[in-house]
Amino acid sequence: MSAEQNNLEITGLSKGYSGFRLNNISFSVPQGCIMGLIGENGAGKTTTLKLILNLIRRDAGSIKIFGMDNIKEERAIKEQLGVVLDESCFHETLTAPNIAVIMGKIYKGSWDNGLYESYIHKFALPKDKTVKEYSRGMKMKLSIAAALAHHPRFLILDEATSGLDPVVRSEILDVFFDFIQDEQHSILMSSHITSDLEKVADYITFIHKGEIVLSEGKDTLLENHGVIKCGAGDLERLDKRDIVSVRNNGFSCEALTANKAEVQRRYPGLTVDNATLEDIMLFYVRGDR
Amino acid sequence: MLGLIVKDFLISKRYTRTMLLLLVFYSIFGFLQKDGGAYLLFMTPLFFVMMTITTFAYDNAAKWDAYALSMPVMRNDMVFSKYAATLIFACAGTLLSVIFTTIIYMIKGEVLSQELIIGGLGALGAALVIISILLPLVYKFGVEKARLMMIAVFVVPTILGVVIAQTGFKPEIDDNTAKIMVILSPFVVIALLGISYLASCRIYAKKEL
Repeated sequence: MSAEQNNLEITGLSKGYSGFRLNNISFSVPQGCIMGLIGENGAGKTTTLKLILNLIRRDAGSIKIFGMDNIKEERAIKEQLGVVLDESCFHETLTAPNIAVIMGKIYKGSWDNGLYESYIHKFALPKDKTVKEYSRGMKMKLSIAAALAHHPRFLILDEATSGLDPVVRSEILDVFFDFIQDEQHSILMSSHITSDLEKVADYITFIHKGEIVLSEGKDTLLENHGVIKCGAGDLERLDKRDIVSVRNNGFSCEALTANKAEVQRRYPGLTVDNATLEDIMLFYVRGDR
Repeated sequence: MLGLIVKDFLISKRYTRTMLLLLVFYSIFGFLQKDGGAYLLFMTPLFFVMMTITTFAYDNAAKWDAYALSMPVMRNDMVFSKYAATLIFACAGTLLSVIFTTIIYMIKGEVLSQELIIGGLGALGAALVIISILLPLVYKFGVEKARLMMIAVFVVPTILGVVIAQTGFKPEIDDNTAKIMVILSPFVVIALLGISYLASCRIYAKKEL
């Protein structure tokens, strides 16, 4: 069996600000996979992405992209990186063709204008309108077209689908899915829209208050977690080690378990529903231990 | 890096149009003036140089820097491209103003004196000195604060100049010294730009985006 290559390897990453600290973050994104990065606002997702891109300086740890150090080989890495940030970063007065000219000169060898044009056409983006006249969805699609048109190996997306309607999101997710068909490609996407990640992600990394809560396969995650729905009395009977956290909502209790199969086996009459990513997030963040 | 310079030109289109209109206005104004109006020659390099500062404001509004640095663009490339764009804008502006002034003088049948040309180049040099001071300030403090600081940089020497003039102090510069100063000044300007560039690189290298 061949050794699995990682497009991204983060080890022991730390960064401190006054009032916030990203602490000892470690996770990897294998080739051929989509990893979803989830966490509430202020959890450290964007800080992590900025550290990967060397926009801010890390206090400790190492970041390897395509096996290369992200600072020592920064230029070589960024030639093969496609990035979409959560705000469209193009000047208002630019048009799609203007952007092609600029990007063509920045990605001298790898910019594929034909591919860019085909995305512009596929996304139905008007070439004679300025970015200012684009809707939010159009701006995002433009950013994605620009990110993909230089044939990157690794896409990094920071909330690239937030604020978009379900139709546009579905279009964009399809594009990401196509992108990942190349076994050497990967995507790291931070998103609040957990339903999107449930659709496309292979792995989920959950960051909370600057620390990794979990980083594992999405399918395993969803298989292992379940939401127990019961009364207060039943809750007392349960082994505390099976419970991640509890939420009381007046009439009944809900508890998240990370051992769904075990719990179902030991308490046959108990209602254990499938947990969604959103459930998992809410229980880890807001539940009572 | 060429991409960044092209970007600055593309986003400055509207500003350029305003500048050209001002150029025409000043030309007409100068034409109507008795002394031929050297305003054009002296003000134009400054206007075009201020265009670079405006591109900083546009970049901020677009949150361009973080995006650009996620591409194969290094921090020094970003700084270098701004200085390069400034030089290109300044030289273009000077060239245009020399052309316009020459046309005015030709129409009026006056002679364009050597002193005027040197004065125009002096204005270019002064504009570049101002930029040498201003750009590191912009990198350190941002566009808005730097603009305010710039006013101080203008005002202080002006007040000093007025005060000195009041005292009746007139430095005697003989022809030779004047010639040496004129010949040395381009080198001084280039040296100042170089120091300014290095300072800007150092400031920008530390910036967290």
